[in-house]
This record gives sequence, C-alpha cells and structure tokens, in this order.
Amino acid sequence: MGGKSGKPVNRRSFLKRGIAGVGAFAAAPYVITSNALGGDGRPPASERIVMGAIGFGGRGQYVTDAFMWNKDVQMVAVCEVQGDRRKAAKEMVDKKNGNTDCKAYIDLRELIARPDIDAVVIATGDNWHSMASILAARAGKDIYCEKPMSVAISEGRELAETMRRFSRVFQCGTQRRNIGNFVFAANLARSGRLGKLKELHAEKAGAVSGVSFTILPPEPLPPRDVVDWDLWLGPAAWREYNHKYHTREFWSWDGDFSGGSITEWGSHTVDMCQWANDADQTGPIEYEILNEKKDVAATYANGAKLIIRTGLRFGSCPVKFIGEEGWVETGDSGEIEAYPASLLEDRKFLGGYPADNHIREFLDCVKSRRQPTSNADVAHHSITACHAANVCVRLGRTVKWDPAKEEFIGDDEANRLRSRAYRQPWRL
Amino acid sequence: MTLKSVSTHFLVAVCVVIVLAASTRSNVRAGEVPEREKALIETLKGNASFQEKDKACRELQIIGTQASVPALAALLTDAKLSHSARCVLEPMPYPEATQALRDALPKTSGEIRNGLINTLGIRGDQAAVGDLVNLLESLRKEPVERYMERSVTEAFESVAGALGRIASPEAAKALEQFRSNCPECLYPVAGEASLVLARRLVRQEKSAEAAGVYEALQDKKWSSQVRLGAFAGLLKAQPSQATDRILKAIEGEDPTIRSVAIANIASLKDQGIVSKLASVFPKASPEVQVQLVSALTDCGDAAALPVLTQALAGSSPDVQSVAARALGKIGNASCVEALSRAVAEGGNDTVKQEAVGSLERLRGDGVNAALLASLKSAPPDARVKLIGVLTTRQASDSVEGLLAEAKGPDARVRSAAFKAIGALGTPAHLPALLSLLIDLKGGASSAEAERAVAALSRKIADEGARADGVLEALKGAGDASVKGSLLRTLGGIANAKAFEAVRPAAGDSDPVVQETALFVLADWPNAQALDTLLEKYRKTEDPKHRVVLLRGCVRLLRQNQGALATYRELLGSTTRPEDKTLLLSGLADSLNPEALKVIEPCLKEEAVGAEAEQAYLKVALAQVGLAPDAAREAGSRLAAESKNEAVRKQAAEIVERVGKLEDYLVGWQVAGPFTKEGQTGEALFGMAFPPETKDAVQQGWGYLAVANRPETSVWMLNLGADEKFSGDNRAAYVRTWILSPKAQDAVLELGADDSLKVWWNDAPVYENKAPGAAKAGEDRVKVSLKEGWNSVMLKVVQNTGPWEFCARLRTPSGDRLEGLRVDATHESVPQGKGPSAVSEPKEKVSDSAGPDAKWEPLFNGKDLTGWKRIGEGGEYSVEEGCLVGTQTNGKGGDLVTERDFADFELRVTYRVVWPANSGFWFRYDGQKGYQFDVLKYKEPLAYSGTLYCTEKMFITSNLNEALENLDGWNEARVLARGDAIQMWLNGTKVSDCRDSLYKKGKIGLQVHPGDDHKGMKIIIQKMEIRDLGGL
Repeated sequence: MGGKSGKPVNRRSFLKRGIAGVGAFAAAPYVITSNALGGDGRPPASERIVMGAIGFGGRGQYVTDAFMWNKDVQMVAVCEVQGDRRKAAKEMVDKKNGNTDCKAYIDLRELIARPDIDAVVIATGDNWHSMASILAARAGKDIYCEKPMSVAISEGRELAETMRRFSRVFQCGTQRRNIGNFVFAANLARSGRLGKLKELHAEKAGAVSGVSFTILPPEPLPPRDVVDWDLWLGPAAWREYNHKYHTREFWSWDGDFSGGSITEWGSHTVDMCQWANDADQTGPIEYEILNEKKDVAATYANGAKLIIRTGLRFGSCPVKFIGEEGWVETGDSGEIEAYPASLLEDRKFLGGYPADNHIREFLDCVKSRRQPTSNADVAHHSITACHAANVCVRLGRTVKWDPAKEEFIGDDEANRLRSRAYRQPWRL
Repeated sequence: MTLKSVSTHFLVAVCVVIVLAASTRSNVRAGEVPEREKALIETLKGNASFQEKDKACRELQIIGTQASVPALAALLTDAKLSHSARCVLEPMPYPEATQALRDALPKTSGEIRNGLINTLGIRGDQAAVGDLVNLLESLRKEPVERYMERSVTEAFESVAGALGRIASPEAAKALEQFRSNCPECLYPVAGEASLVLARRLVRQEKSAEAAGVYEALQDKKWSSQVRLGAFAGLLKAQPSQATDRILKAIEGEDPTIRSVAIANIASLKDQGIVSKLASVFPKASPEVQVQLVSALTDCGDAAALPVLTQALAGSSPDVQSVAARALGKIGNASCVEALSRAVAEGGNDTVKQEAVGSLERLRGDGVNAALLASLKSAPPDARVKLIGVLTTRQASDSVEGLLAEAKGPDARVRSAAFKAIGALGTPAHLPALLSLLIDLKGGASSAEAERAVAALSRKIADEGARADGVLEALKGAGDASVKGSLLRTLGGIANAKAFEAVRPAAGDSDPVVQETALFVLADWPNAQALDTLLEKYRKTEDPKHRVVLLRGCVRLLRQNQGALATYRELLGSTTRPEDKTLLLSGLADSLNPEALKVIEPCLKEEAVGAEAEQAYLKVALAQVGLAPDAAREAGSRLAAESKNEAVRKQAAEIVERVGKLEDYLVGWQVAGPFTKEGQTGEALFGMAFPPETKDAVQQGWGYLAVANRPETSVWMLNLGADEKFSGDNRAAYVRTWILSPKAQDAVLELGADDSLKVWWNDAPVYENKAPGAAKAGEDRVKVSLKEGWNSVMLKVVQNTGPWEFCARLRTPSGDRLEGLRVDATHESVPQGKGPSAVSEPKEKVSDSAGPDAKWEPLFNGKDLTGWKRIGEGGEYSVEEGCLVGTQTNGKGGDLVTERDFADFELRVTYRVVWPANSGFWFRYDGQKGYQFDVLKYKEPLAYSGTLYCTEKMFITSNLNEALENLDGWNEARVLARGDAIQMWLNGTKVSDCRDSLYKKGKIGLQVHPGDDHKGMKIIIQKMEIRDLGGL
C-alpha cells in the first residue's frame, strides 16, 4: 500500500509472535498442518505452499516479507515491470531464502504459467489487481490480492465469478478484518450493543473525492528492462510514456488506474462499515454528495447511512459506528473510543497495522479450501460501494443502486460507468 | 439476500438491462442529437490526435447515443483507437452498438479482432454466434503446432470465451464439440469456456444441460481447477443431489475435491447431511476428520453434537482438539461429560486445554450441575482443572459441591476447591469453611483455605463484624498450627478487631505463634499496624525479624505521605546500610518535597550514597509538577555535587524541565469532575460543589499531572487529559499554595477554557462566565500576597471541547515576581489520588499476595542451576553475583526456569544497558506467554512495565517513561493469580488486568533479537518468587 496508509513494518510483532498467533482473530479454520507449524522445524517441501510475488512497490515488499515469515511458504519467483524494483525483489527474496534461486520476471504471464507455483501474492498498481487475479485463477493459483481488488464494478463481479468458476481461494488484502481493534469495533455494531445502527463513518484517504484524467507530455520510451510500458498499462487505455505516470502520486488519483481517495482507504473503511452493518452480501441503495469536498452519504435498505468523509481520529483508515445506544471509533493507531465507555470493558486485542493474521488465514485456507474472511464476494461488495460513490461524485448527482441486480436504477449514464472495456490483448 | 441470487441477477442484468434501456432511449432521433455529442462526433471524424479522440470517447461513454455509432464504428478497425471506441460501445444500451461491433469483425484480425469478440461476448450478442462458430472452425484449421503461439491461443480464448458467455443453444453445441475434440494444448481454453457456459445455463434454468457440461468436466483429463470448479458448479446446478455428491467425494480418492466438498457442506443448508456425515466420519482419516469437524461447526446444528462427541473420544489428538473447540462453540450441557473426560484423558495438552476452554464457554442451562457431577469421577489432575472451570464460569451455585471437594484426600484438589470457594462463596458458607480450615491443622492446602476464609469474611457487609467468626474459632484453638492458620486468616481480613487479636499474639509464649503473628503484622495491608511494627522493629534483635518488620514499616510508610518524621527517626537510629537502603527506597516514592531534606544526610554516606542520590532524584522529579522550586533546588544541588555523571545529567534535566515552566503555577491539587444530570456547563458555573462549600473537602483532592503539551506551553494544563475527568458539561476545582517572603500586591494572570471562578486566601475574588479557548493572561485578578503561605483555588468549568487553564503571578506592572515558592503539597492529599495510567479493573483484586507463601530465590548468585536456554542467540552468564543477558550478534534467545509456576508473586531487581529490548517472561512455554516488558517502544508507545502477550501484543502499556531508572537498579514485581495479573515498576502499579490466555508456565528472561539492540545487557541482581500454587 505504501503511501499515506503505509507505516513502517512492525518487525517486533513478527519476531515476538512468530507463527504462534495463527488466526488469532480469524474464524480459524482447522488445519492439521498449521498446528504442526508451531515447532522450530519447517514443514517438508511437500507441505509447503510454493508462491510467487507480483508487484513490488512498498506494499509488495511488505506483504511478500510478511508471507515469508510463514515457515510453510516457499517464495520462488517475483515479477515486476520496473527494473529497479525487480532487482530489489529478487535480492530480498534471495536473502531471506539464503540462496539465489528466486526467478525474476517482467511478464506476469510467465510467472503464472509455472506449474510448480500454488499461490500468488498480487501487489501491483490498482489497475492490474483484477486482471492479474483472474489470470492466476485461470491457471489454478490461489490468490492473495492487495486492495482495492477492482477499479470498476463489473471487473470486480467478473473476478468473483472467476474465483467461483475455478474454485479458487482468494483473500483481498483488507487485513483490518483480522486486526483486533477493528474486529472489536465491528463486533460491537454487529452484536447490537450500539443499538440500531444510524451512521457508519468511513474515512477516505484525501480531502477531495473523485479522480482526474490527465495527459502528460510524452517522453522517450525507456528500454523494456527498465520499464515495460505496455505491460504497466495492462488493460487500461493506451497513452504515450511519461515517467510520472508510474509513480504512485500520479496513478492513485487517475481514473484510468485507480479510484482516488475513496477507493484508497474506502477499500478498508467502507469494508469495515459493510461488515459492521452485516451488509457483506449487499450494499447501500442510494448515494448522495454531502458537500464541496464531495463527501458521500450512502443509505442502506435498513436505514443506516454510510458516510465517506475525512476528519475521524486515530491514525490512518479510521471508522466510527454510531447506533441509537452508543458509538465506537477506532483506527490504525490502535486507539479505540466508545460511548458509553462501558462498551470497552472486556476489551482484549492487539491493535495496529500488521497483516500477518490475515495472511496466515489465507495460507490455512489454501490448505483447507475454505473461503477466507475477505473473500472475493465480500471484497467485491465493499469495493462496489466505493465505486458507486465515485460514480455519484463523477456525475455530480444522487444515484440509486439495486444491490441484487448490481445496477443503478433508471440511470443509463451511471450504468455505463460500471464497467471498463479491456484493452486488447487483455480479456475479462 | 443470498449470495446466489445476487450474482444470478447481476449477470442476467448485464445482458438484459442493455436491451431494456435501449427500448426506453432508442427514440433519440438524429435531429435531436445534443450539441455536445455533435462536437465530440466531429472530433472523432476529423484530424484530431489520438489523445484528443480518446478523450472524446471517454465523454461519449457516458452521453453517446446512436448518433455516435457510425463515427465510433470507423475507429473500431484502427489499431490505436479500436479500444477507445470499444470503451464507448461495450456499455452502450443500443443494438446499433452491437451491430457496429459485429460488422467490424471481418475487417479486422489478430488482437484487434479479439478485442471486438471479447466485447461482443460481454454484450451477449446471440447474432454473432454464427460468425464466432465459423471463426472457431477456421482457427482449428491452423496447423496444431501453431496453437501454442500466443496470437493463436488468444484468438481461441476470445472466440471460445465469447461463445461461453453468449450461451445460446448453438454456442453450447459448438463448445461441446470443441471440448470433446480439441487437442490437449487447448484444454485450458475449452475448460474455461465450458465452465462459463455451464454457469450461464444454470441461470437460464437449464440445470440438466449445465450438469451435463459440469459432469463432462469431471474427467481426469481436465486440470484440477477446472474439475474443482465443475464439482462446485454441480453442487449449485443440482442442489437435490448435492448431499450425495459431497458424501461420495468425501469417501473418494481425490483429496482436493474432498476438501472442496467439505468446504461446501455448510452452504448447503441441508440438515439431513449432518446425520449422514456421522456414518462417513469414523471411516475418514484424521486429516479429513479435522476438516469435517470445521464443516460441522459451521453448520451450527445440535444434530452435529453426537458426531463431535464421537470425534472427541477418537484416537487422534488433532481431531480431539478441534472437536473439543467445536463443542465449546455449538455444544450444551449434554457435552460436559465428554469434555470433562477429555480434560482428564485427552491425547495431549492441547486437547486438554481446548476442552477446558470449551467447558468455560459452554452455554445453556445445567452446565454447572453437569460439571459438578462429572467432577466426582475425575482423577485429581482433571478435578483441579474442572474446579478452575467452575470459577471461571462464576458458578456460584456450585459452592456446596465444592465444599465436599475441599474435604477430599488430595491436597491439590482441596487447594483448588478452597480457591474456588473463596471466589464463589458467600458469608453463609463461612462456618463450614472454618471447620475445614481447623481440621487441616496447618497441613497441606491450608494456605488456600486461609485465603478462602478471609475472602468470604471480607464479603460480610458490616466491616466491624468480618473477623468475628475467625476470632471465635481462635478462642477455642489450642493447637499452635491452627492458631497460626487463624492468625494468617485474620491478616487477610485486617479489620480493627483482627488487628487487636493479632497484636498480642506477636508476644505469645509459643515461638511458632509469635513468629507467625509477626509475619502477619509485617504484611498487614493498612496503617493500623505501623506503630506496632515500629515498636517491634526497635526492640527485636533477631536479624530475620528486623528485615521483615522494617520492610513492613516501609511498605506502610509509603502509603502515608506525612510519615517523614518516622523515616528521619529510623534513618537516624540505624547504622545498617541494608536498612537504610530499604528506607531510602520508600522515601523515593514520596510526593512531599520535605522528603528531600530527610534524604540529604545520606547523600554523603559512603555505603548508601548512590541509593540516596537515586531517591533524591526521584523525589525531585516528582516535584517538577507539584513544587517546582523545590525540584529546581534539589536538581541544582545534585547537578553540582554528585560524583556520578549520569546522576548529574538527570539532575540537570530536572532543572531544565522546571525552567520550561517559566513562572507559571503548575503544581496543583485537583478535585472533580462534578456534574449534575442534565445540566450544562453554564448551569454548573453557578452551582457550589464540595470544595466550594467546604463540605468533605479532603475526600475530593488529588494531584494534577502536568499535561504532556508542546515544548512551548508545557504550563498550559489540560484537565481533560485524565480519563476520569474527560467529557463535557462538568466542573473541576484546582488549588495550590504560594509562600511569599513579604506582604505584596500582585496580579494573578489566568486563562481558562471554559468559564472560571477564583478564590484567593479562601475569599471569592473573580469570575468570568465567558466560554471559549484558554488564552494566557486573558483574565487578570489583582491580589494581595500576605507574608507566609497564601492559597488560591480555581473553579474551571467545561462546556464542550478542550478543558484547560493556566495561571501565574506577576507584579502589578507585569514583571516576574521573584522569591515566591509554590507548593501543591502544602496540604497533603489522601494516598493514591495521583493520576494513574492504569484503568481500574472491574473487580478489585487485592494487591498483596497474602502472608503465607515464602520468597525463594530463582537465581542463586553463582551459576545457572535451575535454568535452561531457548533459542540460538543471547548469551547468559553470571558476573559479580549478577545474572547477565547480552546480545551481541542481532540474535535473541531466552533463559527460562526449569520449573513451572501458575500463581505466583515475582520480584526482580534489574538494570539495563540501553538501547535494549528485554523482559521477564511468565507463564511462558518457550513460544507463548506473558512478559513484563523491558523496552522503549514507539509504535505503539510503551515503556518498561508494559504487559506483553505473545498473541495479543501489549495488553496494558506503561506510558510513563519516568518510572524506570534508566541507569540504575529497578524493581519489577508481578503478581499473577488466576486471571488477575498485576505488575509494579519501582513500586508504582503499572498493570492491573484480567487475562486468562495462559494459565501456567516458566519464568524467563529475554534477550530480544535485532541489530538495533546489539550490545544490550539485562543485569539481574535478584530474582525471587513466591509460589502461590494453582498448578
């Protein structure tokens, strides 16, 4: 994830916890092999999950490293279209493996084609998340894919269909579903202790919502081993090369490659609100713009309002759930506040940021074939709420949404913004 | 809304909506084309650049009508712009768009044509099927060796994929043929397209047809993901046969299909499957049984309980442990017997632990009764655990049964039962309990019995009557060991009558009774024992008694801020350095600046000078916020006189900190918060609360912490910083005292958020009702300082938002007033009112381990007998009588006791060479456990004294860095009893919480890995433990 929501890797939590905290907060599936991992010894090669890592920016480094702390993971390949990152990726993996066997690819199709690889971790730019996941699923890989899992509604739907089609295990990197303070807050809402839910506040990553479409002056195309520009663009529309495009500061606000402020954090915070409202298999039914910052209020069928905004407390990705009988607010700082304060009695959790429980849950599911917490259906419904909010912002007016049919109601313009045609040769 | 219906509707929707919308919008005629669209069409037609045309397409994607289609159609064959045009046409709700795409097919080839085909597939264009079938045939005519060329493979993928999406009968037929006769290299293409097709057929309610496709895809020739997907698809396509298919797969050969089958059990919502699984279960391998248990738990159905119970009784510990956990989730009283048996006979410790955890969690009626019943037949080990379960369940209905257990022959069971009775019983159980205690005659498990009697006695509402039962028993006791038991029990009750009975016993003619009474007095929890302890200390010659008694004195003196005269007297009357060290350690906690004067004479003493300096520093540091002048003087003195560089440095820091406070008044006592139901801050401004009415004032005051504010305004005090105070619509009072060398006029410069009232020498002198932010000097009050002590009290009322104030005294012309002395301790406050970093636990736990257990050293001062190493890094050695852990190479490791402890009190005297990360493990198994952490940690903020848990990270955090002596010795103390965990750092309580994750384990030292800590050392001078049982 890098960027604003990125924080330094909390090494201590890994070292001190080791692998002992298996699924501490997840609905831990029961897998014999994961019990066997408690000891010092590594499982035999036949029981290891052979993996490749695709995409190696800040977040790619973080999750790849986090995966490799699991003794049943054997990382054998990396893929990155940018040369300097590709080199760093191989060096990191080799160093941790204590050999020089890690293979480095420019083209993810070559990595995915390897029959020895069981699972991939995808941490490319947002533009690639769905396509890379779908390609991996077609090839029979299980997938841990960073958030947001899509940049358009139809793309996410197709991803979920593909995972089902090939019976794949998919975990979206919305790791707060496995982080104690967020789990605690969501459970306060889900258990009814806040009373009937009124408002679910989700922080967005920047003050202003929406995306831009900016074309920069063309620059000479670098050699393929520096940047493979065509591959970097992937399914997105063609444009002439400029080095700024492949910086995060550019692409995360550009509509061809991402969904801006709302998908950047909303993929986590809206996801939390969906969960808190027990809305994992549905979504809000009406979206309206609240103010000049384009904060969005979205109403669920049960009357609760999802408010995508800024100004919540407690670090990055904070959320606040307000019910008729109380509220709770928490964020990445691990702090949590609630009213009445008695809601926080009995709290026992590990707050903070690490993704290791989320990753461990995925690895256990690879073995058990169960679906993890942030599976494709759940993640699709959450990111769809973000995309629908973006459509509302882009059109500048209220839109109504039918979550069952996944279409805007009586709104042809909005419906046309649900999808994006893939640039050949990429195919949904 | 179920998952299935969502996705079904949507995928139909993508195709159907386009048609529906077309019928409502297709009345747009050419003449009505909006101006904007016309302009965009012109851009497309003209000589605009690629970027401009692409941009026009982005706009047309939203607003384009049929009028745009011809211009877009022209772009479809353009290598660069074909994709831009497809972006408009793919979601466009008009049939004209489909037509244009189809028309472009023959004019294109390669990637461009594949793109068109993909878009036609997404639009579900049935009319394209003929063309697609032809294309498929012509592709097949390519030489087979070319099939694997990317361009050819991709063409196959696009055509077959589109046929699958369109899913017309003609398309299905073509795909069936392709599936059955394509060469192996095209299996992935045919497999994927067929899966897409089958799913579409299910949605068209052609279940049998879909099942036919899925069945075909079960053949071994297809890849694993195709077969698995087809299997899952089959379950959805024909729900009536799903149960049988799953059962068959479970008994089948393919482990992956089996896993998918099991993972789908819960989603079937078929109650019948649970009973059918019962017959499959015994035949399955342990690995499969583990998976089945997960699935049965997900079903959450009581019908699964017999299978799970059967699993619990099986032979594989892995299966047993997941079954035990599962029963805790979905079980009821009927599972108690099986779980209790697992506690006794489980295949390994994990099974036993899971069974205990599940018994603790079981819901429903009758669980406690069933537990008591199963206790009777359990072996001693298991009985102890089951009694613990009753305690955790707060099973107050089980006390009678527990009293029976407390009579039993096994000491461990008795101990556990006494413990549980103490937690669960009521005073009504006292007579029975007392008679059990007496019968024990001080033998094994009498310590637990004593504690239980004391615990129940303390539950008597009338404090004066709490000891009556025990006193009555004491009268009739003849046996010295019974007397000892009862005396210790009285120490646990500790009311006035108990004291009056124990005091004379300290002079008893029986040496055993006498010593017991002395020890009980030394541990007496409240100040009524102080005088007696002092008297005995002064008289006794027995060195062991002297230490015990003096330790008791100092402990009680710590609780009494006014005890300085006693300290002074004791320091003067002893020459023994160890006595002085003990006294100095007590003085170091004093919040009274006068303590500095008491310590001063010791600063020059060779034997205890270093300890005296540390105590002096600590007292001075505490005065920064209370009596800054005293802190500055003390700091300056040590900074100039100490021979120890580190001490000089710390002393200079104190002076610097005082300097930053300028001449603001920062030492205050605070009382509050005061609220009135339904009243706003504005209303509270006019109401008089106890500090104002002088009603029970003493009860209300505590010291105000200097808030942690930016460097520039450390003197702005935040009343809301203390958790107990924060909130809206409330009032607080603060007061302090100023010593003036002469009578003089002054101006009190104030700022407050929100409203403010001022009393000067007890007379109201000022009020300002205006709300808003605190601005230094906004309120100016003329006051007359008299010679000697003056008092000032402020009432600061909080409406909403920040709650702050600041104050200083200046001359009438605004200059600094020299020669004043501020002291918030001028009138003392009751002990324990200082702001605390630790929130109170729900149920208060006594801070003392009780009088009976003995301290024993864990470290013998010579070698590592009784210890063992874990991990590759970290070096442990004994140097100059100290146990030293060092990290030199980035690698960490632990040193742990060979013995296990469950309930205990631990105290460690340690020193650290920073930067370091270390700590004292407890209830540690080498992998998991708790730790009294020794560290400085940033994210999240935590200092030594933080309670770390391997699976929860920081359970409680010490945020006060100043509690630890970074360059000198510190005392860490841990008191762990059941789930109550308390920790102290240098006498300040840093943790008081309940956590039941780990019940027992080793004590240990840690050397944390990491290059940041290379060279770190943890040096242990003393490590002692009192075993409180529970194993």
